[in-house]
Amino acid sequence: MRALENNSFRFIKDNYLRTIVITIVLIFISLSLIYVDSTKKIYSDTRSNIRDIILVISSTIATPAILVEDGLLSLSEINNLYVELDEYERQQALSSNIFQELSILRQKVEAYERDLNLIKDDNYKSVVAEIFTDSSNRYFSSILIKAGSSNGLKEDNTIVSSKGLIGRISEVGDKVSRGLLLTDISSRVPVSISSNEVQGILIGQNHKKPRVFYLKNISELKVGDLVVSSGKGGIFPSNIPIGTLARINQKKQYIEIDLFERADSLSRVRIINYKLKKNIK
Amino acid sequence: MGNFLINNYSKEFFFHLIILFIISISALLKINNYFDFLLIAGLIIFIRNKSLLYLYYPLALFTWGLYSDVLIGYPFGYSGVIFLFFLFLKEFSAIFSIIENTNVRLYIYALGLITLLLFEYLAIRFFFSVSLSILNILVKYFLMLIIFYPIAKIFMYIEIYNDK
Repeated sequence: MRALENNSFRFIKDNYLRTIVITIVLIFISLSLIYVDSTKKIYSDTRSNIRDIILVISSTIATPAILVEDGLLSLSEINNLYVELDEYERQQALSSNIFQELSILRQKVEAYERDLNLIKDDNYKSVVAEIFTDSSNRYFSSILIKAGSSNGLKEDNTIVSSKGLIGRISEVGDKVSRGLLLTDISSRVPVSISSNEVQGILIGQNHKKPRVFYLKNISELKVGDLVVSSGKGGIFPSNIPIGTLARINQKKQYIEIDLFERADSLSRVRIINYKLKKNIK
Repeated sequence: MGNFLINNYSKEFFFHLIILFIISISALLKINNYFDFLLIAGLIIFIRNKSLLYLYYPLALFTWGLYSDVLIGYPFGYSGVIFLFFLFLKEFSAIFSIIENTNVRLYIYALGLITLLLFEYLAIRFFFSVSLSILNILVKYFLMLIIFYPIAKIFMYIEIYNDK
């Protein structure tokens, strides 16, 4: 009887050990996959193709939760309706004056550009697409957009809203693409700050205020300065508004930015097919 | 119907359905930064007593990890590491305690979770040069500890009661 008990205990122990060994081996395989994926990006096409299929499965499975979320959002939207109506009426009164001012400014800028003989870098097409979902999670911030290669989208296309820069396309599927947001920890955008055109790199921090590092003349900056894309690197067009300077950290030599637009407040975005190389040709 | 619910195969099926549901809402809903669905899936894997898949169970979790990575946009292998880490922790805790002893399992879970979060914090600091907010990490940590008991009780009820 004791021998039988010993045998069964050994079986359990062996099973535990085997599971632990298999688990450890798979953890190492997963870590290797992370390393390969982050350095070589060899699975990009495979990932996009598989994602289009599994998105259908997952959106079906998550339907009850999505319906509950939509219901709660509708309730909060009804609550905000009166405030938004007041704001809209105020904006209506201002908009006619602003439109006139903008028209005059545009004419002036065009005249200056003609005088300076500037090369125009704005010959790019754009697509407006619906945001499928904001799948920002853990340390990664991204959105899924209902447009893909069938709509002419390509990797690294710029995503903007009416207020400013949102991010760039990181994965392109046939009908759905993933957009990497400015708040993502792997997002890097060359920026230009204030009228002095202080250059820096905007780096996502996994919260709503990304930071600009590698600044050369931080003493020239002040809170409220405008931050725009510098166009360096050729991925983003220049002079797209990003936000305003919110805080300066002199000790660690970085600044925090208040973004003009956050993806969670949007339902549609514009994707600009910007490629500097194409324009150089 | 009663037989179906206490059937071990149906329990296995429901477990994987729950994991699929959690991964799906993790990709398609955004509640807030503190409520981490991937860690909740990890907690369920840790709490669960046994699987009918035996030695194939780690492989199944590895596959769910790949599914999650493709859907949510994580680097390949990222979710797999988290799922398998909690499975490893579960097997490790099984050496020291039985499923009914929730307190010992909570201590092991708390220690494992803080190790995981600390490792992630250091990895992000080292590879991306980004310092995450420690307060956010701590809030996430304590939130997971708070929901440990309710989820543990539910799974103990399902697994032990139905096994009798």
